[in-house]
Order: sequence, then structure tokens, then C-alpha cells
Amino acid sequence: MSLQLWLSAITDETLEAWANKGLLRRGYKLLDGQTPAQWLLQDEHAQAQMDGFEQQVGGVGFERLRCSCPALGSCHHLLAFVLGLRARLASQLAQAAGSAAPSALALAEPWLIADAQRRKELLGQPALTKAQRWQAQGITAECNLDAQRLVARIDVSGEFTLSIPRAVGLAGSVCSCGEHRCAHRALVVLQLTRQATPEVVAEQAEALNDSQHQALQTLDQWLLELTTLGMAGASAMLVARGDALATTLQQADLPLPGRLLARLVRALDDERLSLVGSTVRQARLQLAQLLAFRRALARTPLPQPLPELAGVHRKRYQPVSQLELLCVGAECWTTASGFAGYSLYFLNPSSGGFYTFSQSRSQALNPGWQATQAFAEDLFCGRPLRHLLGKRCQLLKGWVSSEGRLSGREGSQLQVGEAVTMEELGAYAQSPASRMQVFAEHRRRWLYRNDPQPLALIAAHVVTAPQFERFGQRWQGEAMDDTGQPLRIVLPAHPLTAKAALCLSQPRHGVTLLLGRWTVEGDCPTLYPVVVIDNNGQQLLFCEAR
Amino acid sequence: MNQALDHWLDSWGEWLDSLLATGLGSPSQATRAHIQAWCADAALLGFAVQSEQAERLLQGATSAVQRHQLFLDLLLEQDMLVRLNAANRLLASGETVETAAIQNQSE
Repeated sequence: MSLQLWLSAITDETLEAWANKGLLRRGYKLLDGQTPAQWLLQDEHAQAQMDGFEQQVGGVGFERLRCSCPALGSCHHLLAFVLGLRARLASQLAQAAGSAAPSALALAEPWLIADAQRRKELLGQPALTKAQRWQAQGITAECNLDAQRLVARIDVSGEFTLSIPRAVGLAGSVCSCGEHRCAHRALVVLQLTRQATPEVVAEQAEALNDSQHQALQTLDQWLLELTTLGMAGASAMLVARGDALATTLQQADLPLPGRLLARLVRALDDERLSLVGSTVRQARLQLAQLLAFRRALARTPLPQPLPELAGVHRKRYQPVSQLELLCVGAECWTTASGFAGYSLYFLNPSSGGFYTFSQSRSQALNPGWQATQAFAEDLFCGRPLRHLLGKRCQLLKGWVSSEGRLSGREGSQLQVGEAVTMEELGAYAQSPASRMQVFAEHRRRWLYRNDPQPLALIAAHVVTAPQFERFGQRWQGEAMDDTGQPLRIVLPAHPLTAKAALCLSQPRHGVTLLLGRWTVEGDCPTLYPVVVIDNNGQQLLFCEAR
Repeated sequence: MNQALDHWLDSWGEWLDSLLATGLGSPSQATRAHIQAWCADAALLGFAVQSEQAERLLQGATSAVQRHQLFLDLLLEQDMLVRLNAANRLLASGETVETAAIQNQSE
């Protein structure tokens, strides 16, 4: 009887996930000239003949479907076979009076499997182990239930959809990964069973794999040497090993700790070489941030999802489509830790959030690479970067990180429209309250980062021109936003800073927008502006490419 | 209270920097004196655990690995407290902005 329940519960979406849209269409076409009422249909067996081939099914599950045609896996004969059986059962049900059985089954929850041995039999140990690791990494399935089935969406290295019918459970389930027993099913079963009865799913797994553990242990050893010897006693060898370890962390799928270590190593090397601007304090802050992530990664389960603690390689960014973007500016930059790069900034009008397309290089490893030159020559989705400035764009297809970094990988498609007007941009200027909200959200989300500086677009005018501050080695001025809140304006040391300070201090008429990184230093709201936007258009403070 | 806490946190950062610069094996006399003075303030401010950890850092019987762990614990703790302090300031400044906005509206 369970075969018939399964067949009755199969939807077109399920068939499409098992086969594909084209085969489903061909299946419907083939079924047109057939008479399913004449096919053999028993409790646990069904059989038909179409196109000179024989189709049969010997129980619940797509893996039990067979066709004698030469196609491997699913074929349009099997689609027509399932569609015909489903239609026959539906008409039988309509004819039968008082069909109470399906409504009683509607409450069944076959994905709740409390017995560990039964889970192992149904799902397999490898799938369970993988799902347990995903759980430890903070990955969850998004489950939706209706009277007939559970549909789960699982976002891990791509997006997968799993459908489990209430009537027959896992045996009749289908997953878009194409496997009959997969970790996606195991994740849903473990997640829902644990929610229903936490005490019966005691199994815990490590979030990290062996190579990640090994890389982090090597990091611990390196840190022990650093603190024991001190920065004064650090040798060129320690620096070189730190660089190599940063690469190892990146290769072990821990790009964020790898990046943080690379910065610490640069700070250590600068201090070792007594370079101007280097400080032990800077290195300590880098060390604290690296250590916070390292300790968070040692916990089981992880305090935050793994991608937020380990980072995500550009090749694993999530796909997006039809994303509206206003290109609001760009800058070329260098960091105290020895990196140079450029960033192109976009504003998403729907969410008010920012997206960034960046490229950067270590100056020590790429002495010939110039950010300004790269900005002038590079393309984003086949378009020169400077041609996008001030334009309304639509990312038809692309990939983006959870932090809003755009990848620009091959296959990305961008449509470029007309220039954005000053009036429209002005509507997206953030109020003090919304700036604070974004700042707090950064703080909450990136719990272990020590300096959240979200991008902000602020309607403001400069009241005190930036002046060079000898002790801070930076330029500092004052602005007032359109709500009357004073803002400290800070320009970091950069070859273009004097020019930027001059640009900021020029008198302007009408609304002026400042785009930059916003933070709170001491008690003072502080903006590190990178672009001034007024009726004359965008003026990039740290980019000479126009 | 806030000023005392700020000063104490800054002082904490300073001796952490001194230790990170010279290494944990042989802190200078000046750093030792700095840590001891800081420990006295820590006790007054109610940070007894941190004070005890810092004192253990200076003891000869503490092994290199233990010293390393203590140092990292204290370094993280200081960083966390500084950020917590900054968040409190942020909340306070948020309230100030909000109050000013309400006042502006009512005027």
C-alpha cells in the first residue's frame, strides 16, 4: 500500500527535481496516447509497456524505478509511467467514497527518527557524519511543512532542495543533489529530530577537518614562539614561517585566520625592521583579533556559523541575480600591514546596503603592482571600472559574499544604465540613527573583529578643513550632517591626502554627500571619507584614475 | 569611575605591549613595576582574577607554556573589555544623538 501512497503524493516539482523539466514535458506527451487503467498495479509492484519498452517499480523510491530502454537513470518512459500511475490513483480516490486515510496520514512526520540505529540504516553513516559536521559548523536547513510533505532548502556549497512526502517518508524523498542517500537528508532528519526531542540526538561532531586542526595547531606553536621571543627577538625565519603558515591556513579553507595572520606577520616584520609608523600596539591588536577567531574556532559547537569565523574563498561566493546597484564611488588604498588595492563601491537601493568590488596585493610580494594603474585598466563584468562610476547598474548574474563583496568571476553579467541623479542619491543618505543601527549590526555579526567601520553615505558639509595632525600622523577636520550632528573627518596618510583635504574644504552649494567608512572614536562619530558627491558629480578623494 | 576604568585599560594595554615587545621570558624591571601597580588598581576595581593571572605571569615557577597561555588570556580579556567599553560609549552617544533629535523636533 505504501507504493500507492508514495505515487499519489508525488508532485510535478518532485519529478522535475528527480529528472528535469524537459523529460517531464516529454513524459506528459508520451502519456497522452496511453491507458494507465490497463497497467498492472499491485500493493508493492506496478508494471507498464510503452514505446516497446517495459517499465516497472518494485516499492517506494525513485531508485526502484526501472525501464528497459537504453537511457541511464531517468527517462521520459519512467516519467510517463509515474504520471500515469498517479493519475490512475487520483481518479480511483475520487471515485471512492469517504477517503479518510490520506487525512490521517497528513499528520505523520516520518523525518523524526529517534532511533540512532534506524537513522544509520536509512541514511548511512557517511551522510550522517557529514551532516553532523555541518551542524557543528552552524549550517541549518530551512524547512517548510504542508499537509502533504516537507520541503527543505539547504544552502551549503550551492543550494539544494529536498522534498520528503509525509505518506512514505525518506523512501519516497527526492533531493536536487541527485543522490538517494545524501547528507542533505541526514541534516534535515538530525535537525528536526533534535528540535522535537533533543535528548535522543546526542551525537556531536567537530566542525573542523583534520587539515584545519593541524593548521591551527601549527599556528598555536608559532604564537608560542612569538610571545616567548617577543617582537624584538623575532627573526626573519619566524616572519617567513608566519607567511608560509598564512598560506597554509588559506589552503585549509580558513581564509580569514590566514588573512589575519598575514597582517600580524607584516606588522611584526615592520616592527622588526623599525619602519616608520609601525607600533607594537598595532601588532597586539592584530594578535588579539587573530586569537579571538582562533579560540572561537576551537569551540564545539561553533559560536557562529563556520563561514563567519573561517571566511569564504571568492570561488565559494553565493550566486545572485537581478541585483540593482548604484555605483557611488571608488578608492585606491594601502594598509599598515603592507597591502595595496582598490575598491569600487555600490549601493543597493532596495536594502540601502553596500557592495564592494576590490582587488588587492601584498606590496612585498608584488612590488610592480600599482593599485591606481590596476583601477585604470581592470574590468568588472567586462566593463572598465571608471565607466561605472555614478551609473545605475543591474547585476544580471553574479556572485557575492555575505559581507557584500562582489567576485566579478567569469560568467558575471552586468547591465549599465543611465547616470544616477543627485536627488536620488540624496534619498539614500543615512540618518544618525540608521548609521548607529548599521554599526551595531556589524558589531553583532562580526563579533570577533575589533574595528567595525561600515560604509556610510552622509549628507553633510565640512565646517573645519582637515589639517595635518603631527602626533596622529593623519589629517583631521570637522563636518556637520544635515541633522546637526557634528562629525569628525579623518583622512589617513596617503600620497593624495593633501589634495583630498583641499577638495573637502572647497565651498559647495546645495546638498553635499560624503561616502566613507563610519565609526565612533572615543565619544565622537567619525567619518573616513573617500568620495564627495555634489551637483558636479563624484570626486574621488583617493583615486587618480578619472 | 569611567575615567579610572579607561586609564586602567590603557595601562593594561601598555604593559601587554611591553611584554609583547620583549618576550615573556624576561620582563624588564620597569614592566614588572608597571604590572604590580596595575594589579593593585585591578584589585580596587574588582578585577581580582585578572590581577592574580598577571601576578602569576611574573612568578619564576610559571612555565613558558603557562606564561604564554596567561598572556594570551589577558590579552584577549583586555581587548574584549576595551571593545565592551567602546560599545557602552557608543550606546551613550546614541542616546545623546536621539535626545538631541527629540529636542530639535520639539523646538
